[in-house]
Amino acid sequence: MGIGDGAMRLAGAPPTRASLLLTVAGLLWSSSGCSSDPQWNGTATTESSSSDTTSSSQSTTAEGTFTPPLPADCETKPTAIFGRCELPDGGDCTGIPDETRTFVELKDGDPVRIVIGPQSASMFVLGLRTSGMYPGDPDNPASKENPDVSIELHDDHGELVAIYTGRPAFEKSDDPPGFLQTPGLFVVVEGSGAELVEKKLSAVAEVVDRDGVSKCGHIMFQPAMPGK
Amino acid sequence: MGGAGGQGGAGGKAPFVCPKDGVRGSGTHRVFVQGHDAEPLEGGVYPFLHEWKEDGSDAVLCDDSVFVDDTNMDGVWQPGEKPHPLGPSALVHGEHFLVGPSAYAEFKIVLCDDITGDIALYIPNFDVAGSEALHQVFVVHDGEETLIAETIDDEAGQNGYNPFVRVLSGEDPDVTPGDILLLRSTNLNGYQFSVMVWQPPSEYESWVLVTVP
Repeated sequence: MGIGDGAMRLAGAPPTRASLLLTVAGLLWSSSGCSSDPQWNGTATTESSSSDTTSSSQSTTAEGTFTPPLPADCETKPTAIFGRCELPDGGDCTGIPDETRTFVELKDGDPVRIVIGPQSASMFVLGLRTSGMYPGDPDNPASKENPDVSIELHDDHGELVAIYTGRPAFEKSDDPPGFLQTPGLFVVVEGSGAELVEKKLSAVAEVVDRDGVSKCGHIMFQPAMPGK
Repeated sequence: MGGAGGQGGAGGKAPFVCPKDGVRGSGTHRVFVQGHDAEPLEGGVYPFLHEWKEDGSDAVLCDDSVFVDDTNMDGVWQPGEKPHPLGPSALVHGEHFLVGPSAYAEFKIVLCDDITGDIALYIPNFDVAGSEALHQVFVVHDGEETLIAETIDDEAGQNGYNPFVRVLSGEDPDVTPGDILLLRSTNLNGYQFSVMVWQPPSEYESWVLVTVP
């Protein structure tokens, strides 16, 4: 607690943000974002992330389905795949410290529930799995040795709805072995997120390790209300 | 890091022109964290807001004798002196939630003059007992970060917007006009933490003081 403790407090006041409706212009995927030598071959599981619904150029169809801008390498051979975060009882990760987080692979079109975190923020709890990079130091969340991760979510009209930035260390995967993964990436959205439920969201991730090795991934998912 | 690269340096670049809101001119400058509801810059970095009067002189927000409850009447803000709810006109509401260990938020502004290593932080935040957040201030030149000052907020929170306040004597940087002042706030252990901008103008705004010698 800092100065002006009691007088400065607004205990329990919920966040009341206006909707974040941003155009994607100026926020395009970096052309240098992905490695030209992808390590991920999509064979670790039977349902690897598909590139069928993506395009190398940004577009919005007459139906309003937005496809994010992706470098060609990422479109044809994504080097990271998305997952969601699950607790041992099958529930969603919430961001409470010390919860046991498990990576559950996502495929295009899967539902991902909105989670209300302990600070009343609404978010999607995603994960990433990849290989062929330096995993970082799990004991030092601020270390520059850790991979730099960014995730952008766009709705089906191309509007940016959320950005995550962090330096999570990746852990070795036991199942399947030989991969690196991080299960708890908390992508906070504006307001309750309820307005997103009728939309499809496109997630694009960029990962850059300490040596400059880049990974990228993308997926489309269906937002779902909490607990459903 | 996304989009925080400095603009300085030589090598065929156009002459540097200080942007309207750049940090320039001898004195102390107060730059405000823009709220999360605002449009981020490329890479998810949010701008610092820095106001000037139309005649080019410092706005009242830079004037400690006006901006704060200057209890000792010395004209210089110090910890314990409460800010007045003024706020830049372009400041919008929005908490920067840092959920999960290593999640960070970044804020930047262009430096048009050299600054000292003296940095003051005023960061109201929503946190809980046990939370630890790292605040780092960098100067970025051509994408290369130089750490000027850092501090850890491990003060017990009360689920409220209690300001974390520090006056730091950091490393005196060698600024090239066009370099970037960058604040990175990182959640260190996964306990709840958010950098606040609450319904401005209010005293629940986050800002940084830098000094141009």
